[in-house]
Amino acid sequence: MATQDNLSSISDLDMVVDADAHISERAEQLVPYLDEPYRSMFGGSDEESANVATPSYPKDELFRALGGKLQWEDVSTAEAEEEAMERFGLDHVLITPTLNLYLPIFSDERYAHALSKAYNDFLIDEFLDDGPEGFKGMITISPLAPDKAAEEIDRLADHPDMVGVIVGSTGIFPPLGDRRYDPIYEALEDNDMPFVLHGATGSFTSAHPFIKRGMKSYGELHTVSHPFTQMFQMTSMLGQGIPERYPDIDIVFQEAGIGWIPFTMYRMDNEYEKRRSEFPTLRKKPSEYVKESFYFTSQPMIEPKQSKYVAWLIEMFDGTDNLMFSTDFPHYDFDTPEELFNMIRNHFGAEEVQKVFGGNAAEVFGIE
Amino acid sequence: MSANANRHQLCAVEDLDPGERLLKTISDREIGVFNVDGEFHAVANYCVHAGGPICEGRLSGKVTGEAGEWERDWECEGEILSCPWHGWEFDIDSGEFLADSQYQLITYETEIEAGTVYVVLGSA
Repeated sequence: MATQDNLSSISDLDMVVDADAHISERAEQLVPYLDEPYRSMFGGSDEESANVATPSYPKDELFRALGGKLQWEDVSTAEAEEEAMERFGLDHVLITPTLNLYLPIFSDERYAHALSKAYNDFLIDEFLDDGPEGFKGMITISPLAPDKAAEEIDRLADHPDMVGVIVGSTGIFPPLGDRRYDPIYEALEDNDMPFVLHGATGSFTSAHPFIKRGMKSYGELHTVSHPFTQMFQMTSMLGQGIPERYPDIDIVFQEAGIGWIPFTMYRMDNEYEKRRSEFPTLRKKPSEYVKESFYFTSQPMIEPKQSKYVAWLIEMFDGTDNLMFSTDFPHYDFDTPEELFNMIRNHFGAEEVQKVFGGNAAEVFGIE
Repeated sequence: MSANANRHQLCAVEDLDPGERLLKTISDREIGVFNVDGEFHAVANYCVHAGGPICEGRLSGKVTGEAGEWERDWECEGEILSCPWHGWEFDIDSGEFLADSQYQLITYETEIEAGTVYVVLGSA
């Protein structure tokens, strides 16, 4: 930990990249972009357009807003996203979907794929092509038909502002170490794209019904939903040797904070050391693959009274090389840049803090 | 092979067939002697992980495979010693821990002279 050249103010940062900036796309916004027959099936009238979600987006029975105590800003337009950028002093935002994180729990893989394409075209048309330079998008895929997901990656990877591929990670079953996803990894490799995993609490009812049933409140459910999702997917990818097979693919885990990372990687090292027979294709410890191939977005930051504990956690996974600041705005647990900055600025040198706030994201996503 | 004070008799060659082992205490050290295809290996009965009785563990093979390939194999039968406490696997010949070569079995040099197997302490 350097102490000589600490940054004293957030305004000293060269660049701030928000590596998880949600837009709140609505189902009816996607209807004009849907391929047939879905556009005609679900977009027949205005009234029905609003119900386009009915067949498969989960009906949200979660008590998210606490009866209005928590307020969600609507970020369904480029103007609203630009306003958020300016408010928080963000130079670049990596735009992430909301509804389209639910695609893994769809029953109809054709419809899920059509929605992913519609969302991607909507994103390009309404955000990326006319929006400010700082807008960066990712190709959303449905994991249900990996061959079609690979086609979608090939279709859009050349768009100058599509800088990665994102998948909703809650509900992907079997998890992402399975061989059925090889076409997706091959497309990522061919197109030199990072792979971004983002959980979704709204998918939990389908994905993990017993956990959902056992949690008596949204707060209980949300405590476990994101880290559990990411632990499940990361463990599968490590166990089945995804980073051994595809060492050039950068894999990014969003919105689960940082506490689960050292826990999971070192716990899995233990399993590897004691049960190596079950991981015969690994050539090094899981934690080493994590440090080399995996990246993480910061939100939601834990807030212990002593910030040194946060710094220690970050050090445990070589976080100054692997951590990317993120807001998760406009969700109720979003972080501001100041929150992370104040937590780490006394513990890491200027160069390391710059990497967390933009350098790592710039490298992984090719942002200039 | 000259006799020296560190050299201790373990057993007669004919007393330990290939695949067999025995445990002896020499100078307060528990030492396992293994006949692996006619090669004699002497190993401290102390796992470098947590001090478990490694020489009482299973001597067998290892599962191998290439990432992305379908096949899995069983190789090196009779050459992989695993600790009964936590399953750490070591190559009895190289002494290497299979999951991290920074860890090594504690091994001793063996010598055979006139049908007798000797261990040379201080050679670990």
